[in-house]
Amino acid sequence: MSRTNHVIAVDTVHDELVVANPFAEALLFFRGGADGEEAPVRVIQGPKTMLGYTDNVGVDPQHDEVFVAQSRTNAILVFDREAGGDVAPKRIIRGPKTGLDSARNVAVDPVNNYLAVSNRGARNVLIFNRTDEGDVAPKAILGGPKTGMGIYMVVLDSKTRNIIVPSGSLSPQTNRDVGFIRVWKYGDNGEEAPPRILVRGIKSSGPIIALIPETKNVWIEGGKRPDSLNLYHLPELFE
Amino acid sequence: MKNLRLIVLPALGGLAVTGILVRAGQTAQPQVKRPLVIELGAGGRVPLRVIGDRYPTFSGISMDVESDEVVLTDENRTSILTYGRLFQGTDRVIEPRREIMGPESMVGRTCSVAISPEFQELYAVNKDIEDNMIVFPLSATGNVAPARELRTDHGGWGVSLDRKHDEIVITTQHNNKVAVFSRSAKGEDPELRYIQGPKTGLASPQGVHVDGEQGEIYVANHGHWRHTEPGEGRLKEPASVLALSTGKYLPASITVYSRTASGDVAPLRAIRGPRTRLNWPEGIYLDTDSGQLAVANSTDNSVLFFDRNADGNVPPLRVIQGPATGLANPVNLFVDTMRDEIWVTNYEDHSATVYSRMAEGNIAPIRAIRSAPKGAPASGMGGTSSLVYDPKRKEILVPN
Repeated sequence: MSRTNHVIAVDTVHDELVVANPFAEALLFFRGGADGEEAPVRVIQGPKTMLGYTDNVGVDPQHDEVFVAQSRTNAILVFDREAGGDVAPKRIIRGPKTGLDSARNVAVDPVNNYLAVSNRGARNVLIFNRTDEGDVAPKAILGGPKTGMGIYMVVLDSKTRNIIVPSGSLSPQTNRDVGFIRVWKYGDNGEEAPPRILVRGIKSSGPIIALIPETKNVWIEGGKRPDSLNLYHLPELFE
Repeated sequence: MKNLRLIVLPALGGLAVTGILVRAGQTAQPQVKRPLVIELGAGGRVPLRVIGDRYPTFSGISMDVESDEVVLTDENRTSILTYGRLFQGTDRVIEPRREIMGPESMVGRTCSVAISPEFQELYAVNKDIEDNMIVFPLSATGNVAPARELRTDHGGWGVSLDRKHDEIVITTQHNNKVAVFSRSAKGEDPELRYIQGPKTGLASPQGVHVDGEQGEIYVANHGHWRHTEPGEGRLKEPASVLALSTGKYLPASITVYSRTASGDVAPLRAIRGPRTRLNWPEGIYLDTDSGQLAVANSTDNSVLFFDRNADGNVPPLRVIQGPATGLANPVNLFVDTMRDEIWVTNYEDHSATVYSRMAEGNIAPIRAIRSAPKGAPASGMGGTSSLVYDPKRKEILVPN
């Protein structure tokens, strides 16, 4: 792992963790309970992978695939989850129709065949079919420049069919970080489609979240100075 | 309700209109579908629990040997703290003499700091959020603006001042680069020269030390490598072509260059290999009296010392390591040749520990600056970029 680790994906089916190392351009697979200076169980790395400064990963344990967004090349690469070594992606989404613009992160819903991409440049979220390939237009676009969203991550909930997007910006009025969570439903579309739920009052310009379905609680980043995590009860996000 | 009828229209204006309620004989008024708004914080929902660390975690360190003050950077609360060099050895928290902190200061995650006694300035590198180096008078305190700001490439880490040539050297881990600026550079000023490219062996460079007298630059590298073109940085964007990947793992290393090296040049020497024990080396400092390089070897909680002329797969001359040392993820260090001391910052222990300059083995520190009660846990969080829940273990995973 590098000194910069932006995303960890949890594969609950195979009990693995997946981490991208942007500096060594590698995808590292660890056992679920990995601890300390433990070696990965396998590594995807090499010229054929086309990994380039890749810092994020999403895992689909049902179809045995891993997805990465590449911000510099505006591409989504899909690999066989069980692959190791120097392997080529099995699919690539890339091209002018895709709308990819500094693609920052991915989320995959293997049940409903959704693939969501947080698009930092265009400040929106692109929704694709999970199996899309090539220069394909997204089937939905949410958010956009007018929202002022600074987007870092997106979460798909296959059970509720929620698209959960934490985002934020620096308030010019107060010169303070302000963060939001916007929740759309599958099927919502359009840059001006209002979210179903808007959570506000987050003290971070780039909030990050983790959903705890058992308790309907959500861990939300409480700020970066210092780093803190706050646990809130937000049952509305699980409906 | 019999006088009401529902008309469905496509989206209008800035907000979606899903329906219009019209009473017979009235003009239609759009009913905007508004989201359910949930407020957090003041007047809204309060957190059930909070994970955080309210104490400073030390990273960068430098010293004004003439004024007997040590400057430490705090990545957690984002501040720059100045302490007296001498104090009673104690396990209690020591209060700083001065603290630079607040939005005006632009102090972010300052991982390294250098000091100029001649110009009475400190130079602090903010890493990958602010992407700059900020400069303050040594006397600065409070929420004050920096005297000047220098824009750096994304992911700056190490900084070292060449007092003889009035230059400042900055490493950037994201693009494998050592950039040399005029000490007085500001704004978007370009580098005077840089070391970058496939021949350099730079691989996620961290700490840097420049020896203006002997004309050499020493760089600690984690070993995570990908191809970078000479000049790649904020003034020259990398290619956006989907191409063959170049990334690979190299052994962690100390690479040495001529002070005047420029462009894609091979190192004069490189310390690397299993005998070196290098494992995530971070801060590096040349003890000019002993001719030894001190390296904060963060992953195995040690400080390694090498001869400055060492080359290849060589063991360290000596090592400070062990439970008595108090080393806990050491990040940066400073050698005070005037008082025969070496200072080390410990990211995971809210401390800066002081040892005899020639200390070796499992030796207790002479004294330590503590920013938190001894044993207070450090969260270890720094620039969290995502969270994920592991339902099997009921754990939150926080990548940093």
